[in-house]
Amino acid sequence: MSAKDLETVFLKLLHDEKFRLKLKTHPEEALKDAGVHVDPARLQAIANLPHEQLKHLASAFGHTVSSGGIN
Amino acid sequence: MTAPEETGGRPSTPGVPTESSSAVVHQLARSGLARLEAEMAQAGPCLAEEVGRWLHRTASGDALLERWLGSRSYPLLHLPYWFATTLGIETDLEFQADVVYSSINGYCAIRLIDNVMDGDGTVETKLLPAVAFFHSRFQGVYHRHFPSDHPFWSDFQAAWDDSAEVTLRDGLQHRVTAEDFSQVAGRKFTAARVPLAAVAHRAGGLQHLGVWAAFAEALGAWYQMANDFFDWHHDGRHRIPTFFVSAAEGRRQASESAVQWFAREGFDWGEQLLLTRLADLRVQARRLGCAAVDHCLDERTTLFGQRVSEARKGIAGLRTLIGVLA
Repeated sequence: MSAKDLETVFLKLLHDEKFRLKLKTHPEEALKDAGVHVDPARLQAIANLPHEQLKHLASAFGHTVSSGGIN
Repeated sequence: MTAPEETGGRPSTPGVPTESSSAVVHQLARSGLARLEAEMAQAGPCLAEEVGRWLHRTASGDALLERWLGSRSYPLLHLPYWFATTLGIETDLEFQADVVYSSINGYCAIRLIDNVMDGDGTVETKLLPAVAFFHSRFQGVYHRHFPSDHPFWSDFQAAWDDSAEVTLRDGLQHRVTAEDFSQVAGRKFTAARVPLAAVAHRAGGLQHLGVWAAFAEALGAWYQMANDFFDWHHDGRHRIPTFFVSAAEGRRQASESAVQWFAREGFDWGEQLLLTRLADLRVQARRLGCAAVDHCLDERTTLFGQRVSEARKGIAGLRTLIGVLA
């Protein structure tokens, strides 16, 4: 997978809840929708990813530490 | 690091209890917000409506006050009051109200300009004329307390000039090294010196201004670095040159993306930098002799720990993902 594709998957995980859920249940379709090609041999490994952990990515990096309020 | 007694700092005293000081600042901020809305309405209907909408677009009423005053936010409105408690002028509520009101206006002016400069502005570009309103109140309220030849105005001008210089330099940077961060990006809260100077001059406590201003700036640098840390992906994607975006470019291996670098070492590296700075802030805080500041740092440390703990779980998942996909 290219660096660009990895970036795409990462950003989708941060900002697209539906993508994250679909990556677990229908990884091939989720990645295809995102325009990312992946070796079919890896699909099962993707389905087995620690999805609960990935959910924390969005909550940790999906918003800003406020410096005052009007951001 | 200089010991507290060598700086003339006062010993740590209970002073005004943290809960009480927080309630007073909350009330001062509430009054300041009402005063701002009233003065905007008096100044002009468009100003009141359009700028009022911008002011409340993410939150209003108590929610807005919570965003200004909550533990996640830089304690811009608290710091001068905490300083005042150590100098014994916290009961001068008319003065404290003006300090808070000035700071609210100064903050709004800076935020309006920053949002336009960052390209985050949606409506801000058209609201830029409101900076004149905010600036006049930010500066104007102090005329009631300091005559035009008072030395306070030299401190005011120096801090405000410095803020302009730092903001300009920050906006023109293409890469942010550690030195750039300490001299520019990490100094974006330098205008916080203005209300501290006002308190110092009012109370005759100028000998304490240096340590308080240095702490306010170091705390601001910590907030800026925390912002850069947790927003590194957003900033990188939007080509905003921050310390962490620049670090990712400089430290990643040739075959590695910024995401891979952050998962491999950037997250741990950033966490350590921020923890080290928090420890340094605690050393600096000892010079202030203010229980509320210590409490503030306790809260920030807890919140940071919680967020990092959550992030660490996400990073573990990201590392697994990279292992599967790479």
